[in-house]
Amino acid sequence: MAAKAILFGLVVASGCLVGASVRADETGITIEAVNKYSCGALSNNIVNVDNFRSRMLSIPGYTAGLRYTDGLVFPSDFIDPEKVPGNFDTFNFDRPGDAISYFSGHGTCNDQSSTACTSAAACPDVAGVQKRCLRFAENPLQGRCVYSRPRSIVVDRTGTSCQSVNYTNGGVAWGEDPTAGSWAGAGTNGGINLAVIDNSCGITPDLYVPELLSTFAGVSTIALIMPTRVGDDTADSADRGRAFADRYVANPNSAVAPSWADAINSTTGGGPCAFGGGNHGIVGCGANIAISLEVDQPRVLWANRIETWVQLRDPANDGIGQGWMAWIYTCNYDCNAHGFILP
Amino acid sequence: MLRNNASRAFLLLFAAFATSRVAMAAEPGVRFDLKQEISRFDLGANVRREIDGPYERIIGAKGTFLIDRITGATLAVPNAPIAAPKPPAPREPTQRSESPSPINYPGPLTEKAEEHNAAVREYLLRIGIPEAEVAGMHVTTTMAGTGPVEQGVQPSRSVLLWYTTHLERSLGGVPVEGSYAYAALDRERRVISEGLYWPAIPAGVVERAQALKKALASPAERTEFLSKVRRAQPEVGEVAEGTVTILHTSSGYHGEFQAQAVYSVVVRSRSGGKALILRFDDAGSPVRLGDSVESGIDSIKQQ
Repeated sequence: MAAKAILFGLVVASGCLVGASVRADETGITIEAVNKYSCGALSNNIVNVDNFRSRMLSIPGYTAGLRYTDGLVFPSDFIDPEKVPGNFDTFNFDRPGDAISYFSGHGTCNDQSSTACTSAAACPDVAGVQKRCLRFAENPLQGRCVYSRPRSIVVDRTGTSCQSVNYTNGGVAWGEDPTAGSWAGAGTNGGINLAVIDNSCGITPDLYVPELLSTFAGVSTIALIMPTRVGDDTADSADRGRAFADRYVANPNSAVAPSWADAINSTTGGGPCAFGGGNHGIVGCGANIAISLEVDQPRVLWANRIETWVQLRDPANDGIGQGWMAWIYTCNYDCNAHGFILP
Repeated sequence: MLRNNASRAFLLLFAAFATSRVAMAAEPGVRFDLKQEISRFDLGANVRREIDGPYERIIGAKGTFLIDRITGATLAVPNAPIAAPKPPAPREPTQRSESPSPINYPGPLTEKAEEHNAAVREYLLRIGIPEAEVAGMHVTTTMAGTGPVEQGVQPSRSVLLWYTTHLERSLGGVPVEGSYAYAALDRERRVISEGLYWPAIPAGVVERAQALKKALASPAERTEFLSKVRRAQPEVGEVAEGTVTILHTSSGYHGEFQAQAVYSVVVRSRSGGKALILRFDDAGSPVRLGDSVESGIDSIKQQ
């Protein structure tokens, strides 16, 4: 009898331990935005992130994380301390308990060049980076060379000197937590499951692997804006974030990554695209793109096409490796007939 | 006879005056709200309605039709294509070969944008969008792909999922920024997703936009106007081209509705950053509507 009681107690205790290892939902939304740049002021980034978060919080499900603007946005907010000691994304952009972090501000378009091409083979090699030929004009068909130079978030902590944060290979790694594991070499002191980078030239068409592979450390999806023609770029829009949040408010059972792509349809402002269409928050030709990374194809397709706003809060759905990439994008023009890559 | 001639002259003058007044008066923009009953968005089975503060949702097994009860905007959003948990971590070494996608998207209506445009135009006009206010159409294009990291991204891996056609709103020859009416159709001509915000626009706003456009066609008035604009916002610099539009508050804004004739200027960054969009009223003063106001408070910085 005593032995049975002991056995029963052990079973109950082990059940409690199993229950305790299931982590609580991550619900926080952190926003960081900069308007006051010494290298070219903007006017809508702060209202953009405010509109996103206030819309997301207008129905139950998510909670407020941090809000930092202008001089409170530090380069160290985005960089992992395990990768580069002395940085603090754990306390800012990649906090345990946060589900979504959204940055809005400048980027840099140093991936673009004025070198003409009609195929990638015609583009000069640049050491250490990959190259593509991006459609630039038609009749005759012509492109411009682009390269997988590191992508940047730009901040201006003092208001007197703009600073770039290299999120390609500068020690930025998001989403690592005990569930994801430390496969990315960033420890397990992060947390977010979706990162939104609302900047200029956030990603170069087709160069997603060299430009974003190291940024994933457990984050399920990274959402960006992708200009698809040299010289065209993201507009300083006040309603892009709200358009994205509208999809969640409308239907929490909708898929997150397709929602980011679709948000371009109710984003306004910008300029015409050389191949027709345009606007929708872009000056020229471009797209909203959501990119996911996972250990295999079934998991990456789930992350990029199926994961809902409800499932996004579950840390059990974090990325656990880097075998496959998946992407979904919506262009502001007919990029099926006017493919942006000239092979 | 003299009295008859005077009367006739008076009548002619009156007719001329009335005609010119009619020619000058602008038409207001007519509000259109989409009712779920006439939408071709397939909600699926078990349809129910819920009121959630300013929102009404009509929810079915396949998606939700949202109505913003304050602005009248609507948004039809499908559920995720499959309701399923994340596949478990692989036991075997990481799979390298492709396997069939578990996701069966509905399939695009067509691979030709013009055909999609024609179908959506017919659909949206038939359900009641004012045809006189539609000035044009364009598509957005949704594509997707996947691949093993070690092979890099191959362009051929991105496939067309669907087109979305937008009807472009214009009043008195002036584009309206902030209004939208769009739909994406599948091969069965069902709506994959759609959005509509088509608020009423006062005739006075349209008149001011037309007047501004006319004034800027005069070189002397244009020079004077642009000098006011540059004094107000030096960032405009030497940017020559701007656009006259009717701007109104956005579909999700629950404050007082605002619509205004504006001159919009795109200022590209000198250092390759985001492009600034600046807007000015017909006096050359900067314009910022109520939905473009910051609303948060910064957190205390720890590290």
